[in-house]
Amino acid sequence: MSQGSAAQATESRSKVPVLEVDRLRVTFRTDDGPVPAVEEVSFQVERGQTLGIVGESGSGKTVASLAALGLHDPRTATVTARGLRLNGRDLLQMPRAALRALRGDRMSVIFQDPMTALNPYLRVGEQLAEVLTLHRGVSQREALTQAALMLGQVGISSPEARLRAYPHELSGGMRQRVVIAMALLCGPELVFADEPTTALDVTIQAQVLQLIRDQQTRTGMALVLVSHDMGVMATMADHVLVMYGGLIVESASAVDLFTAPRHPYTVGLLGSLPRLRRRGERLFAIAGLPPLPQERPSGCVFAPRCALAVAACRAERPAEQGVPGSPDHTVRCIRHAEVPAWAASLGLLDAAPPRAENSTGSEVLHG
Amino acid sequence: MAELLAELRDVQVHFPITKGIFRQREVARVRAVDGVSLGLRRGQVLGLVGESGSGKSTTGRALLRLAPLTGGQVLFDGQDISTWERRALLPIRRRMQVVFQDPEASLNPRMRVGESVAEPMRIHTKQTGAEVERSVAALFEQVGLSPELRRRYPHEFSGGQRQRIGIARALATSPELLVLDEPISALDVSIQAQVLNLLADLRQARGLSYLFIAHDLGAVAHLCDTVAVMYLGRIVEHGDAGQLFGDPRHPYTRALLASVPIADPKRARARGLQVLGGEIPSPLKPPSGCAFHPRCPMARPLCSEQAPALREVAPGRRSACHFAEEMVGLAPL
Repeated sequence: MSQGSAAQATESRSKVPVLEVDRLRVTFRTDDGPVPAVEEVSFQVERGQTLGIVGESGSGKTVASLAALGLHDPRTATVTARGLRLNGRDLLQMPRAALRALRGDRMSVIFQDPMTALNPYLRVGEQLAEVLTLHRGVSQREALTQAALMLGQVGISSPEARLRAYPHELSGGMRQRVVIAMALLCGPELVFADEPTTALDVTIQAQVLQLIRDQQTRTGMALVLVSHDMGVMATMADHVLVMYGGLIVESASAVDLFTAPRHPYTVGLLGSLPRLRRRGERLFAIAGLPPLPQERPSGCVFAPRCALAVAACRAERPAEQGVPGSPDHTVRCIRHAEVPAWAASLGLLDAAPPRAENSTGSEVLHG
Repeated sequence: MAELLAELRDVQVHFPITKGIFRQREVARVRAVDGVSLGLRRGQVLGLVGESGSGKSTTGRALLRLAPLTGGQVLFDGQDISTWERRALLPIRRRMQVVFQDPEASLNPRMRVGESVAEPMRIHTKQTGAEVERSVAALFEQVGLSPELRRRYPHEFSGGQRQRIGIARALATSPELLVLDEPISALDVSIQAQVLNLLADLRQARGLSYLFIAHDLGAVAHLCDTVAVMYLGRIVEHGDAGQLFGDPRHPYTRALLASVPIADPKRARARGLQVLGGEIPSPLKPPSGCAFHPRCPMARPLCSEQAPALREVAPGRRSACHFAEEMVGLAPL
């Protein structure tokens, strides 16, 4: 998995990526004129891999992912891209009806709040069966049998009885399992999960993450996981995109991103996590607020909050640059070469990169 | 001045489930809080952690006398306030305030935020209009907001700013105790750090005591001096924050810590996902014996037969596990 813009990335792998997004832009039409929510986003995901997208509210992480699946509202949002392909199928040229047939079948979505994804008036069984009768044309009876099987696979005990339950009769963790079962029913090539465990307790979160991973191993599906939780990212993602102000500001393998980040924003995010080992010390807090989409600065989007910003940063948007010696690692920062020294001077990162051994004691707790 | 600013003694909050229209009879009861004893020292931060449904918020409300007590006592500054009426509680209310998770829900959308902060001052203090105005401006400054912003409405602020306003309002009556009920859960990561730092600064500057209710163990470890872990209405472990997280003496604390994803891909992968099976049981039908036994990896026959008492297992450490002693020096999960 890597940044899609680089042509050599596709060359070095013969496999066709499951999802390929090339220069995606999303602009909202508003009364005050067009607002660019996502300025330019390119990425790809391969079979069995997990691409993580982190970012704060308003960074464009959800908007970009939904637009890639064609789940935007064309009345309010304009989506353009150089390329948008699901296993080679061109999603941009595809009629909406064909796209609709793909969604829920070849690609599916798991949202944060299972209650909004489930219809409170319908029994769980009816909602699960609908997916199969719609996409597979099987009988209601056959659909219910398969639905019960799937519920069993996502760890729900006595699945036949649960099919008759209404969503409100289930706990939050159970509901999220039902939503996952629904997303996996047709054996999708791609699953997009938007903060799937944010509403859950840590113990249930661990269960649900384990479940998603098991299913991924079983079916080889590709996963795009959107989360603000760096712990979840470190646990699940093979490759991570950091979004800020509608752009990918850094893209790297999970290990590189966590041990050798090159964007000051990524460093700040990691530095702001409470660490057990440094109890009571002041947390590194990124000053200020993320910019609203209509108020983004013309230069580097992060410059107003960045401790390293100089005049050149405010002058123009930094282009995406490769990080020497770190494959598949790109960053939008003109001073990225100075970032490791800066992070070290603030004590923001533990001296982890050179040693391959587990650095015991650097407990990073984040729930 | 009592050494303990606030104390809960065997506090119970039960909610009856009733049936019948004319003659209501109790058919069951939810034991939301079932015998909690905790003390909060002056200037200290006590963390309360546990899954949803563990009773941690209800415990906070009981301390504030906002939840009906079924049994036990609530003491504030040495006085037993368990049975005090509304009017008698008013001077106590000035001294303990609360900050909720969702600042949007606790600010009146039609009121300028400065007014929301001024209101408790008008109720609880004898300041004149001009004095209130000055105090509000000073509070805004203290929570890191420009005083000019006080003429704006809640919707004009971001979540983090609204939480700062919520904190300013809680401080309006110069309280000694703040109950912080998930104050950072709704905020973005970079903003959480800002608010945690603010809470640490305010504690220092004003000598405040906090009851910090949270499910984010990282934040709890960061801010708290002592921590109590709750499960199904009871405290299962209580002690110094650093010791409790570093060397848990209850299997539930251990499992909770192991469930927190580590923000380090190599270690996260080496450890794997630690899954505690099952869910917190219904408080209507608590399991026999130790309430945690159906999910406990260490459970033995005794655990389903006999409820363990919360007892001192090491100096300053209480655990409600029959086999707490076996956890000494156990490698972390």
